[in-house]
Amino acid sequence: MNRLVTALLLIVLPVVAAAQTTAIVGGKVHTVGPQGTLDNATIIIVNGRIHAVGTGLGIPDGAETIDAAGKLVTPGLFSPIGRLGLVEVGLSAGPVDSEQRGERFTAGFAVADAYNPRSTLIAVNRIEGVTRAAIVPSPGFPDDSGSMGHVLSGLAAVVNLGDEDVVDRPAAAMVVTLGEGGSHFADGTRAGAWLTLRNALDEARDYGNHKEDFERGMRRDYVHSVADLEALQKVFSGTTPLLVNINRASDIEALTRLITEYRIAAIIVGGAEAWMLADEIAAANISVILSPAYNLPGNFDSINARRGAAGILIDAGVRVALADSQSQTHNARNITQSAGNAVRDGLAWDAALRAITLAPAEIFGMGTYAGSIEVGKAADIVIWPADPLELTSFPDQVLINGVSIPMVSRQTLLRDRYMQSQSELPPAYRD
Amino acid sequence: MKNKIAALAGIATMALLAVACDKSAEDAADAAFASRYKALPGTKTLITGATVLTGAGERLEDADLLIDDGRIVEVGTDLNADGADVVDAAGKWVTPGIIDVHSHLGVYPSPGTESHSDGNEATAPVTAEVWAEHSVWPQDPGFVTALAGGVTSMQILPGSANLIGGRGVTLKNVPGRNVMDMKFPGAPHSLKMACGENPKRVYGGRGQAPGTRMGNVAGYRAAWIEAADYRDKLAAAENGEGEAPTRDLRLETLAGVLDGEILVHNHCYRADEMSVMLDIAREFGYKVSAFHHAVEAYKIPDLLAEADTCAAMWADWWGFKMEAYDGIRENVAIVDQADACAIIHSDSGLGIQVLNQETAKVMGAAAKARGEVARHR
Amino acid sequence: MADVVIWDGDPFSVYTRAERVYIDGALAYERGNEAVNPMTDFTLGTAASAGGAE
Repeated sequence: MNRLVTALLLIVLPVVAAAQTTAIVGGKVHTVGPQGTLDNATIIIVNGRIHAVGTGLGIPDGAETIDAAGKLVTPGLFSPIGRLGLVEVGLSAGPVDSEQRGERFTAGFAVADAYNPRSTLIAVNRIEGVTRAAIVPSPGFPDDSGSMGHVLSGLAAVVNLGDEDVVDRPAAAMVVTLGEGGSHFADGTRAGAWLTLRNALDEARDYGNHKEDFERGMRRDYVHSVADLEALQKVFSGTTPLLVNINRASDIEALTRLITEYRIAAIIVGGAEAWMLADEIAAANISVILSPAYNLPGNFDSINARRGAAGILIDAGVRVALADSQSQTHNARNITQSAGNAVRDGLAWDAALRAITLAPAEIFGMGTYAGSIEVGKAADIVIWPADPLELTSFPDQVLINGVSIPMVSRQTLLRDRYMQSQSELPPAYRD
Repeated sequence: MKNKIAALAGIATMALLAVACDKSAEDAADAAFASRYKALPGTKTLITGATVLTGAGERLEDADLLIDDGRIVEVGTDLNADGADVVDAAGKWVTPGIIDVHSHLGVYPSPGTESHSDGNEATAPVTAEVWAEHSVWPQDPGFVTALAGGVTSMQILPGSANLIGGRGVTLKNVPGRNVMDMKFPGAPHSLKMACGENPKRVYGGRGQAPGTRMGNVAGYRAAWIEAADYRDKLAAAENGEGEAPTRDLRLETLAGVLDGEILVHNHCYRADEMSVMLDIAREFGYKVSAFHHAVEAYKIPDLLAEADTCAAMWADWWGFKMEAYDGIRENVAIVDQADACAIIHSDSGLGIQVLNQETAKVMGAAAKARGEVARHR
Repeated sequence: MADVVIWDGDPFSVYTRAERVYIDGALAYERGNEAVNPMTDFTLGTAASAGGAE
């Protein structure tokens, strides 16, 4: 409908089309912003941005109206970790563009250029409310196929799951893998992984401080390429925190020491034992991305994994984003289940919603632009028939940058084809 | 209190040993690895005022449930039971214990170290001779976290690296010192088979058969031909015709399937491959009890219903491999609505803790797609 | 056999937890009751073991 309106306006009056206006009317709006939760509220969207939010607002002439009476309205969901648009089928098939397999680049490897907004995974996840996502280079794993695996695997990006202007931040974080995982890329030693990181930071700092000397050939050789060293400048300039795959408490303690020493920022991913150091993590201003239902000692780094960790960290003042525990890419959509489980285990409902919307947006430097229903922000909005954290609740409509997306995916097409009554012709002749 | 429970378990084991000693020598072979499960000490218990889902299609409001001597004695209203512990369950819900038909707890335990990797005997494509129960580590923390999720029984299966991976076992979810303490009394063994990508990747990658799906099928058929021959020779020898073959653990298991004593649980994703597997079963005269994962079961619910074969499925896993690319949220509902047997399984130490949630997702997807799937199914 | 779960709410809600689990009529698990909260040998001594199965 929205697209139809857009098309008509373009034909009739391009000037009006430039001021595309949509009103979402009558819903219970969880803004996740200072306005809190508003009953029977109206959201006015102009040109993809939220123009006004409140009760009793007048609806501008010519606005497309979406009736949300009796519905719940939330900000779009923000997937905090995964490989959406980088991976089609992970194992033995299709593209896997999240991994730099050779030796030439580490920190400089950036996934943003490889992001595919037409991937089947995008529609599957956005029709269930995921509107933005952090997509990360994976560390890989040393194997026979020539993959090296890297302690520094490169730059994570933030994308929106719309159809246009899809890359929001091409260098949103620098991905690092330490702990047991990182040791695989450092001759099997945990300390070696830390040393690899320190060496990269040291070289990058030296390079940054002596660029002219370097260009005149008056600096020692670096292990890292110029592309890597340039990428690491962003870590020092404060725009790009380290995104550190880490679980064990002792590694978290080492991380707090390292970021203090280098005066850089960090986000923890995994963080199975982070709850044990909640106050220290809060004091170090480190954010945590975790899977709240992950409670098994998957390895010796996670031996103290437990349910309830999200609540403990948030209560201590740590900014926490919730990820799915099983499939962070194909089922990024299941972060609502993660949030529901966090509530089950003690987290307040509002805090859980924040942990899948505004908190990840803030963690990736998008907090002033997305993540909540506030005036001036991108209009990423989901309209739900019922509690979005409940398992039986799927969105009625999703808007990304103010555009109502088609609520269709390859999965709904398959479903519709096979739910049709049987005909004499094979399914291939059905829609 | 922990010590008390451990002590009681010890007593139970001794009692069973005493029973075993009474058995004749002839039974010794059968008794090896037999269940030594003994229920934990229970008391007569009356649960009152709950919403009860019976699991057989009924939802009862404000209902009571009387448990005595290990059994559900009565379900009704205003039950009175002298001497029973009364549990007030007003506002609460009661369901049967959850059963997970696809688990690797104990064989792929936490922590998932290489030394704990005991679920795939990936040294040959047909290893019908191995039994999952001989890999089960009862100290897997996943058993107790599953218990806290309401899981009372589970089938532990070998992995899917092999065409025929070995015997699975059904366990009660009670802490045991060994697998025999946990074995579900009287439950038949299963045979784990696997279609598709896994066997051909594992063996093809080594330049060994099978390297293709057609290689997979040739592998199953060759195994069943051998098994039928073994079974026939055994039967002939019993009739005094010829000598019995030397006992062969591999063929003994496969012959057990042909005799209907061991149930086939077949890892298989794609509709076309499940269809081929049903034909192999017909060719050799065995039944596929269930396809596991069955991500494309929704494409052939009529064939599953006709074969009386269950599909054990995830709620929403998809796409992690090519054969899972066509996964849809409505898979379970479509199979169920075609009157085929639909089961939700976990295949995961995390998923097994929330099988009720996985079921809810299926119900929600079904309701959204078309009308509600009855809650009781 | 009396394999029965008492849930603290609708079992199809994400917020619901198993409160008691009976296996063959015996209470095998009760949330919040340390006496009926089994713990494997492996978990002993870990910080997460305070709640046993929880």
